[in-house]
Amino acid sequence: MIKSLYKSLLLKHPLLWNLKLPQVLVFILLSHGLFFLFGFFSVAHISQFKYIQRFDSSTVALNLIGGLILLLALIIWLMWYLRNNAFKQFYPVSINDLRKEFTIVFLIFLFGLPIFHTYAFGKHLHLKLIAREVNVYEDAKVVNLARHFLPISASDFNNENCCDTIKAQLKRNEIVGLQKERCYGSDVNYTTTEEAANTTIDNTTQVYSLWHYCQTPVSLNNATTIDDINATAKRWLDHQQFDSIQLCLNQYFKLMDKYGVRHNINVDSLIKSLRYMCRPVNQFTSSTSMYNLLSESYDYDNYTMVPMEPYHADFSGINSAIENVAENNKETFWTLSEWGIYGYLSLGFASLLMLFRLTRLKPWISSIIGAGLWSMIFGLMTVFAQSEFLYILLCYAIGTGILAWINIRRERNKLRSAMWLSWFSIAQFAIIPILFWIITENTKAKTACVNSYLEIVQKAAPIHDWLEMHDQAVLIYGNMGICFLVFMLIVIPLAYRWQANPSE
Amino acid sequence: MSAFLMRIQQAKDNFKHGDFALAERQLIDCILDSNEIGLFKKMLQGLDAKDLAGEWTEKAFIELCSALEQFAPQMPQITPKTTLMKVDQIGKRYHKSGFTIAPLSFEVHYGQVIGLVGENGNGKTTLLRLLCKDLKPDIGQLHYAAEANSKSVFELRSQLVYIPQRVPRWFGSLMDNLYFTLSCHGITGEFNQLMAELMVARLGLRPFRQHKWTEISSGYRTRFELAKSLLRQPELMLLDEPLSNLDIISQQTILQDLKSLSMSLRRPFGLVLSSQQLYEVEKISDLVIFLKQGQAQYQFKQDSQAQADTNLIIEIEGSFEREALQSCLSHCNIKDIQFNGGVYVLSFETSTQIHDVFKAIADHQLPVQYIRNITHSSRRFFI
Repeated sequence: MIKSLYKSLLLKHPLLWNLKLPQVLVFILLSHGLFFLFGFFSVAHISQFKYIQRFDSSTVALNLIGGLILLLALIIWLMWYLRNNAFKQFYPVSINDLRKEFTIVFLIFLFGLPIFHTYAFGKHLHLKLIAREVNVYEDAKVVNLARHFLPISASDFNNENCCDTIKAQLKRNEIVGLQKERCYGSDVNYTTTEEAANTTIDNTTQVYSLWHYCQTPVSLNNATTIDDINATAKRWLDHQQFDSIQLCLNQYFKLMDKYGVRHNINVDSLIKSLRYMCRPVNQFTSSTSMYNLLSESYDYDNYTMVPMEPYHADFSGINSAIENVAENNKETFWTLSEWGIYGYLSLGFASLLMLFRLTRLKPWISSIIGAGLWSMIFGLMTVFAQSEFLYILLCYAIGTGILAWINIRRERNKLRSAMWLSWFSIAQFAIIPILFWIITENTKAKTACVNSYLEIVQKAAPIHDWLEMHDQAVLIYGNMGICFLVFMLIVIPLAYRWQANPSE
Repeated sequence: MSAFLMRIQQAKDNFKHGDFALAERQLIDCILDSNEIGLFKKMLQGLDAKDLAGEWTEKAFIELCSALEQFAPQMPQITPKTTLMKVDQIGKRYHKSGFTIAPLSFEVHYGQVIGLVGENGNGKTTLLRLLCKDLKPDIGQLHYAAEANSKSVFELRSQLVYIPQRVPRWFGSLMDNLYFTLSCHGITGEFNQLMAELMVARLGLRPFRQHKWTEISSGYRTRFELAKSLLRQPELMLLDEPLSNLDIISQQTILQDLKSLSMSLRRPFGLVLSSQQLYEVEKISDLVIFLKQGQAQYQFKQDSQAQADTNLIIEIEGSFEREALQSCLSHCNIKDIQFNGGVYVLSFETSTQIHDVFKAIADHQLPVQYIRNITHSSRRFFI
């Protein structure tokens, strides 16, 4: 059957036969299947969420093996594929046949390269299955509530762990924020509310207390909920609702067990310490931090502090476990930006390979060296460039000058064609960024200094907002599209023409 | 009788005279011309049977001929003398070496063979590359009949097949390569398979069908390259020293094959070939171009009157001295004697005929080992 398929392709579809498409497809499917299974079975339990990453150190060996497999497969495929070149033998191939060939080669690379991504996808899918019963928002709520009653070390007294609202922080520190950018003529003061708050809070000493600082929250982009939770925790502390606190802490440590996070904290001792902390005399004093909360315990019977066993608990572990579950659940695989990376790689490989198929060897090698040289020149220029736009324009001017000089001399055709080819392969990448820059610069909002404040005098054009909103997509995919089109509409027809008439 | 029927009759006659190989080749040519898939199959069955039995049975051969004859009414007639390429004063100069091909002009018609001869480094390969548009002439123009039907230069070049002296290496089996060539030319499926099989049989490559490059000799590689090129149905074939890797018998056979195939009724083509095998090339060529230092001299096939008006030139070799030769031919109006590499080249007045020379040699019992009339051969240009 395989033989008859092979012969049928040879007799009816020479392009597909020469590309060894069935073999390539089988390889791609097998390698993706294999790597998917590797990924799927690389995780087994919810406890693995606390240190999970898409690509971790355990996959280094796998990546190495995968890389070698890909390299070997590529070499074998190239040995087959490069055996016949209908174009260079002047078989009657059309420009569209060459375009078809380029597209297929591009797709082969595009679907062949991301086998490591398939590994991550397998892992992601299994993790999703493992965590399908988990309600991350409920778990996050428990953690964010319990974080107020947990020990915290001196190094954790930072803005991230401040559980006051910004407004409260400002009020507490008697800071009046500047809501607008101040301007004095052409100088703009960029001091913002948050920056002002940060700098001031760090300088205050009296707020290192249980009511203002606690463990880092689980961040699920739910700031409003966190404010509510902070308020609840403060209410419990204010009203000394230790039953509620104990219930919350029990739930918290159960969650720790569920996610496989280790700890040796005794909830009863913790509650006792909290009771001691919550005496009115201890509130709002710098000495009553949670830092030494569990290093000693208050003995109510003898009215003395007694030393405790040193505690250990991976508080950040539970946070990252929940965040990873949430991330994993909402993570969409095969996103456009990820395809963008593979798209660029595939486009690069496919272009290089097709140029080898379409051009003569000397111009091809010279153009690769030429492209490297152009890149080096451009790279060196960035070091000295003051303006990005000027730098690009200068690069273009220099490139065009060199090409003009080579062209005027009208000697060494192969060198000329190589220089053109290399210049073209580099210069095309600047088309979209330049257009993007020109459009966004000319359509952006215009501001002026009015009554010492920077005011918008003309709104940005809709296209500006759209471009700013989709800048990544425009730059990544627009550039890729341009490269693809340049190859399809300029490079292939020119190669077709030059192959037939090399003296051109 | 139509040209097609005449060719079938020739095959039959050759078969009757026991020249089975030639008859088989002629029959295959006719079958390829018929373009009829049923006949392709019958021919291949016949070839299989012949391979088993060792030779053709008369019955099978005649049956095939009879089947073929039925298609005679559908066959096109011999292509009239249509120009497929006109070379108009083209010339080329290499700036570095200073070598120049002086302007030359000639025409190639369908079914015509042009031979290019000359010593090494005199511009034969350059001229072939100019003709296939691989090089651009500095002066002059090339006109191709195929230009009218070609949308691009590439399309035109796909109809001009150039085989360099060093045949480029191919990979995979011989048959796979032929299938690939045909399918790239739009001939697909069963027709592709049968046509490739027939061409392989036509050029005597059947035993090597599944062989690879490393498994066949350089002579068979040349034949394979020819098979591949013929399957491309070219307008013009340009062969650079195709005979250099072939033995003496194969040289004759291949040249005759090429001549015969170029005169195909359905797919005629022009042929330009360069070679050092002067006499072999002359036998099949309609025009021989002798290149010396890039300068061309033309040797046309001439009619009998023109031949009669030319000075007789003879090449002769034997164990005798120059004086003995001069005295022997003293009554034959000898103009000039040149000694060239062990061979004497003798020029006579117009009135002298070849039989006068033979008579004089016979009368004097001159110990001759080799004699050739080169009056109409480009061999004389080499002197």
